[in-house]
Amino acid sequence: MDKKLGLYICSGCSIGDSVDVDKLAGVAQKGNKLAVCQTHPFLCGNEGAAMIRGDIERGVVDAVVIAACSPRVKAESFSFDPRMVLERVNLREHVAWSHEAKHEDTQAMAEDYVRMGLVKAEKMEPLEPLPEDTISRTVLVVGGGVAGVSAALDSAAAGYDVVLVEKQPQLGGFVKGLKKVFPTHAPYTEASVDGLTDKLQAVVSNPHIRVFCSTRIVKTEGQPGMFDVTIEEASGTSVHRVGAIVMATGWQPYDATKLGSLGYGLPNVITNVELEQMAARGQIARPSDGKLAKRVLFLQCAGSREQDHLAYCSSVCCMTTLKQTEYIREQDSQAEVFVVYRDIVTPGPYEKYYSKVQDHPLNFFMKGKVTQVAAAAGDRVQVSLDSELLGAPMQVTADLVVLATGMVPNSADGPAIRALRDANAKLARNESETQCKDAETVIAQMKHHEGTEILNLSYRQGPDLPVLQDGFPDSKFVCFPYESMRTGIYAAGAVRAPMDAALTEEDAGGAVMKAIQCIELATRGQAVHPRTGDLSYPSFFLQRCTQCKRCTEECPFGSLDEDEKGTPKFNPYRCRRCGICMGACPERIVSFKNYSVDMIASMVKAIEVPDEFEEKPRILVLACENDAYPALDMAGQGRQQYDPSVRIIPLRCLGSMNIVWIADALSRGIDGVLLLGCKFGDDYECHFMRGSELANRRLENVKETLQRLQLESERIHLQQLGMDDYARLPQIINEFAARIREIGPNPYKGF
Amino acid sequence: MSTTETTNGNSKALLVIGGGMAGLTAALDAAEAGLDVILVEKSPYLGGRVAGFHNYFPKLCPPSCGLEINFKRLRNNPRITVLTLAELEKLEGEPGHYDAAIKIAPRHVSSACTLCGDCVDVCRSEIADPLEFGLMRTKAVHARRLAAFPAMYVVDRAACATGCHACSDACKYGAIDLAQGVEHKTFHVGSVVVATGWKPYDATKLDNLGYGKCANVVTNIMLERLAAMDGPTGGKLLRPSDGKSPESVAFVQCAGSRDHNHLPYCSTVCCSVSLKQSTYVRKLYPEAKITIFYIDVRTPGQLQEFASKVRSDEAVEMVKGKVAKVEEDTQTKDLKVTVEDVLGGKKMTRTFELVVLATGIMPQTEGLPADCKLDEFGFVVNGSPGFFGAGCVKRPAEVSATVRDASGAALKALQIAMGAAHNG
Amino acid sequence: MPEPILAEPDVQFIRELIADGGGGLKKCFQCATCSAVCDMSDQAVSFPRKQMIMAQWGMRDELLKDAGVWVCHDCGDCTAHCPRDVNPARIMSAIRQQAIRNFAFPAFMGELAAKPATSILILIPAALLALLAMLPLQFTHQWSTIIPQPLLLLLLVAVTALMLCIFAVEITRFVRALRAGGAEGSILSALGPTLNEIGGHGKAATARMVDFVIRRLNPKTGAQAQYITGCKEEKRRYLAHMLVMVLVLLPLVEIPLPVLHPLKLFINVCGLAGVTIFIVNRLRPEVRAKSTPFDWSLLVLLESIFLTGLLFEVVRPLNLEPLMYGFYFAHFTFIFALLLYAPYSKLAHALYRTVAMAATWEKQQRLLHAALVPEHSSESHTTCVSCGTPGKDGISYS
Repeated sequence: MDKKLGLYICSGCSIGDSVDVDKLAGVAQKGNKLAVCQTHPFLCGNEGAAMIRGDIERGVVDAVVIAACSPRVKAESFSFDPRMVLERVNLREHVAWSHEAKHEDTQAMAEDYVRMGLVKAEKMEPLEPLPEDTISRTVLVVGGGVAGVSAALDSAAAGYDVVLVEKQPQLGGFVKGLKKVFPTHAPYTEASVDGLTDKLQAVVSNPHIRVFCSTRIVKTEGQPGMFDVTIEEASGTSVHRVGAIVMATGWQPYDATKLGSLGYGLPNVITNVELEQMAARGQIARPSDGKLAKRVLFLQCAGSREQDHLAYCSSVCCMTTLKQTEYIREQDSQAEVFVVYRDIVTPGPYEKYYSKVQDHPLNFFMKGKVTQVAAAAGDRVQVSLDSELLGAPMQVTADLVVLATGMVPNSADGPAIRALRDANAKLARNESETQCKDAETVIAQMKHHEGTEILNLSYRQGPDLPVLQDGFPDSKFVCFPYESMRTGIYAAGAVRAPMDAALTEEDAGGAVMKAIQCIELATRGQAVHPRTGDLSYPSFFLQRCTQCKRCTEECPFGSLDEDEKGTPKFNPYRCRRCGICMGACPERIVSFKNYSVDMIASMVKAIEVPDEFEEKPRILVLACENDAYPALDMAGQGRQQYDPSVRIIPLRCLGSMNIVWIADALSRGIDGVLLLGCKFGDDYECHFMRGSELANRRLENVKETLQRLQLESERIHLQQLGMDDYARLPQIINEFAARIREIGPNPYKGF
Repeated sequence: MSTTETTNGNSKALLVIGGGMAGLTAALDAAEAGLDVILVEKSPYLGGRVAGFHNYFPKLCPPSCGLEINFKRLRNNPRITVLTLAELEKLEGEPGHYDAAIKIAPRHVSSACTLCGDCVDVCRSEIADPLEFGLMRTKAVHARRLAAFPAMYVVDRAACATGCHACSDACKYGAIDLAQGVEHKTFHVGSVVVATGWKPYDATKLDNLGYGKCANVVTNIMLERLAAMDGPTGGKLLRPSDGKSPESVAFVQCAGSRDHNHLPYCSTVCCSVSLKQSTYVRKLYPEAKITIFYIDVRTPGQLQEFASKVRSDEAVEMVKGKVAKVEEDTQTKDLKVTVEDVLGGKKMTRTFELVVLATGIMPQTEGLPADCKLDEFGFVVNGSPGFFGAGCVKRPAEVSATVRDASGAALKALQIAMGAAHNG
Repeated sequence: MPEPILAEPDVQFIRELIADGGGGLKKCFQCATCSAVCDMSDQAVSFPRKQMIMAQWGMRDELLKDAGVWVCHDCGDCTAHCPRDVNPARIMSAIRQQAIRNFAFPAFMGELAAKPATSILILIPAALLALLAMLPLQFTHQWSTIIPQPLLLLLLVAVTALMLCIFAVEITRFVRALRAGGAEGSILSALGPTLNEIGGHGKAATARMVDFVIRRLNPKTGAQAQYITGCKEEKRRYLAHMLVMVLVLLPLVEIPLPVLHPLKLFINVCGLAGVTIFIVNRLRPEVRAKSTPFDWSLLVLLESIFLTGLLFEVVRPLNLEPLMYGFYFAHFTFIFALLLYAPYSKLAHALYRTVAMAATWEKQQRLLHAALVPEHSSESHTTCVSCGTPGKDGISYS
């Protein structure tokens, strides 16, 4: 049935002084049949808001277009039923505040925006909630180390059931094997026996936690709220339904056999891990002859902070070494302990432990670079170094040398594993020669990923969390450190970043918070970060699907699986509502109730394009609504003026840009298209990870289309920007407009 | 005039003190998991320290981006009550059942404000911008320039010309009430998250480093403002004495930190901050030379790779050696820096056009309940259940660590709420 | 490529430094604040940062060769600014004490001087004098009834000669060490300008002292009159040093001038005042805590000499014979003790420092005259940074 559309135009905040509001209303009514068309001098005020609310309640309107300020402000005044059709046209920041008042171009701009808003509202439909699903309130914790154990207890304490899976025969992980943990709490001077034992007890005795040791995950199917996890124990396999997953698989020491250059392999050169085990067993002695070491030398950054080993700092080795020097002390008060470091990294209050350990006559610290580690008489080890503090070469002959090796995450790179599997499949299918060749090279590169699977997700895009830099499945976001590329799965502890036991406990708490959040939002049928609370979701008109797999490939979150034919299977609870699939689909079969290819296309069509003789170019600006759109608002807030030939359409993410819009725009005689998106590349700022990058890739195809249409490729430009570029934004727009004017009008005008 | 109102919250509700990155995160995470939250912020706007920063390390991305998303979450979440210009007066009760008395100073601007700016145009009184460390002036009625939340002005009555009511006359929307008085509210909550954040160490206490005496000796947070687009130099990073673009900049690490005469602990972030800030200078002024004087370069985890990247720029020089003397050239206002280059094994005095003191982080604990446990350095210790520290008030930390900690604190609050629910 | 340092820490040495008040030694994390704040440290002679790491590592031999240890004026600026409460100033003087002990001749005397037992040294001169007193000789002069004057003088000359010989041996050892430590050029020829510089400091200081006293006495300026010195942290010690230095003149006037000659009195008063200031300063709890017998013995000895001398002059006119003889005997006993003990006492540093400064002279000059890029060159002054004494003979200080 036809919707009753209401248009409410505000003339406050100098909108009225800038454009002829009544003329606007007239234009609107001419083009559309409106149930209500009201102007008001102070629409966000109680009276104005009450007027709208009244019309809704009386059933006069069931769809509202508010032509006033930016949708980023006054949400409290214009908040109605969240499912209702509501479109906000930004006449303040984007028109009145950033363009010449009373100018015909400004008026034209306002009229276009109102038309665009109306046509979008026409096409929009009220949101429908997801079908009622029963959401599991159980959290799966993978890994029974300090991170996993804390995560399990934290979840249980918050009232959620827990399935805790550990591949070793018993819980405790690395910390269980420690003699002591270095001081992480006031007064920061005494290493303490591990606090894990009580926690382990608590886990075992907690009725809400089910523990599975000597267990691996063979399959994880489904989606947040309804993951079905198949685990395999000696006794057989079982399936568990969980709502979210905390991956706390911890770390392993860096492979010391790669540290021959630091003497590993010599009889009395060991790693800090080996020393710890020795200490835990009892005596610290020389492996060669079991004699107590009279002189021990610690080499810091053994394999860390090295391009050809671990590029990062393992964060805990300095504190660990300080702790281990005390083991030596306890054993032999007369032993000499040397520490060769690059920088002593004891941040925060840990500095106190550094000075405490330093303060012993027989502890010797030297900043220096090791030049050689060689065997010396009597199974001793001779270490040569540049002692940077003395500015001279130095030699220390020690009974025992300890390499402070770093932390390597126990992670698995899903996409890489998938690439490996696909390649193997290709070979198996014995496809064309070139295909097989490529496959072989892929296999060669990816071989080391074989058998590293942890979660075994049944996702099209691979069986595990994608890893970023250095193999950490970490987040790229400073502000949202838990945001993974797999909704409902959150890494915690040393697998996410090198950290000590105390930080790991905190980190586990944070990850559990995210898991719970995901479960709660799913229960309400709402999206998680970054469109938290969004009720809309894409639907797929599969009758027209050509199985091109673009959507399944491009979704950064692996929301879409494929059947054997390649038809996408949508998992709404994995979905982040970015619309990248919508942008990817050449058949335009993906659409949201309030956001679709057709809606935006119609908005583009609603732009009135002056003919070439008027010499008034029109430029379509597709702006990412997370960063570019707010930046445009701030420019307006600062009353910065820019070229009035632009028409701005906000996109959920530049990745949801469908190239058909560009084709439409150009074929309708629009002279240029400016895409404003987030920075991409290694340090991407796109909150949907790959949106702007994907948009950029699609432009390549567009460029071909342009050549076919014999149009200059300069007519399309993608600008990466951050929100703090708002000050530069008017200049960016003006420069693009100037370039378009140079190129001249679009020859397709008036066709 | 002072009104008192008692809101009967509930034993599941959470009180968050501080609206910076930690407070925001804790409030949002708890609310999205289903708790009612009262978010109390002392200043007129949310966002805390980071709202004043130019970029984050290691990504060199603007804080406004993350704040935008968090503010959006806030706008769409009816469970959160935001109180600005508000402070905790009294906290009584026990885990699961606290009564929190909140004092709310008058803003003199109501939610009818549209940020149209008519009031600013007519305001006649100027003050030193409280957000700009005296580098810039603003009107008595003002708003944060970038990402102001709540999106409304605030009137600093103390700065108003006596009897002047130009702003309230100019406001078409009747949003300004110059007679507004203090408000007192009491909330019943189950738990409290203390996210009051940090303050920079007072650089005037570093007598030999010239801060306060030499115009071109600034602190690292002042440099953030000098680099910020909405800051005093519109992001041009010009030096205070003469507005010249600096060709040589010295960063003095551990300015107050790791020093038993000042802060005995390490402030954790200053190394990364200085490395980050040297990229500001390098990006703006390709000719400029940077020297960072350090004791140890502390860039744990993957920050190490950020450090390596910055250090690979040959215009960024790292010198091990703590600066112990900074003197001003009275003519040029340049600065003579005396230091021993430890690795080079020689003492030297070098001249720079701008000196940046990497001042450390101090916990912001004023106004917290007396029974709130602090460690020897003044940081909040998580002692009593139901009362949790989050972020830099607990430990000096970078933003992402603070956010992680805040999410953890929100979980603790959730656990208390569940406990309260179980025990009826 | 120089020979690598073999790390064989002298643990005993480290323990002694710590025992001698260097308690913070091991906490030094090499930030180099100390070297930066030190007005005496420069490119030619850089300290105390490097000495701290050498001391931490028990590099005894290297430190004994190090001239920087002696160029240090112990002003305490480094200690005041040290972020780790290491007290480099104290550790430097502990190292100097070790050096004096190390170069002592005969060696056992060095060891003895470090111990409280050092006080028994008094017995040697006491015995000698007693012996003299017992000689059955008759002279007319009344003092001679207790000790024969000519013999006393004879003994004085003999003991002084002995002292000088011992010093000669010690300094030879010291110079050999300095050479091994890389001292350049002729130390002998550098002695001239060095003494000249030290003298310059003395003169300048005296001038300022006089000026200070005048301003103090002037009712207008009196109140805010302050004694200006380069040493920011240790004004008292600076003043005391300046006062005691006046004693250098004493031998010249002791014999020829009559007892109550104003000059002689002035010198004695300066000396007494200086030593007293030293003692009062050391009595401050924080200083006393870190003071060793080595610090005290010299002060006590000097003070005793002055007091006995003074008391003798007081009681003499009263003709209280026993007291008179007693003080007279004690006075000379202490003087002899001082002469015998000087080469192992703190007093020796006057000599060691002079020689060390001379040893660094050449390098000093070379560096200062070498055309360095100003940006990177260390500050060079035409006047002394610590007291503003103008440089002489084209000498400039660093």
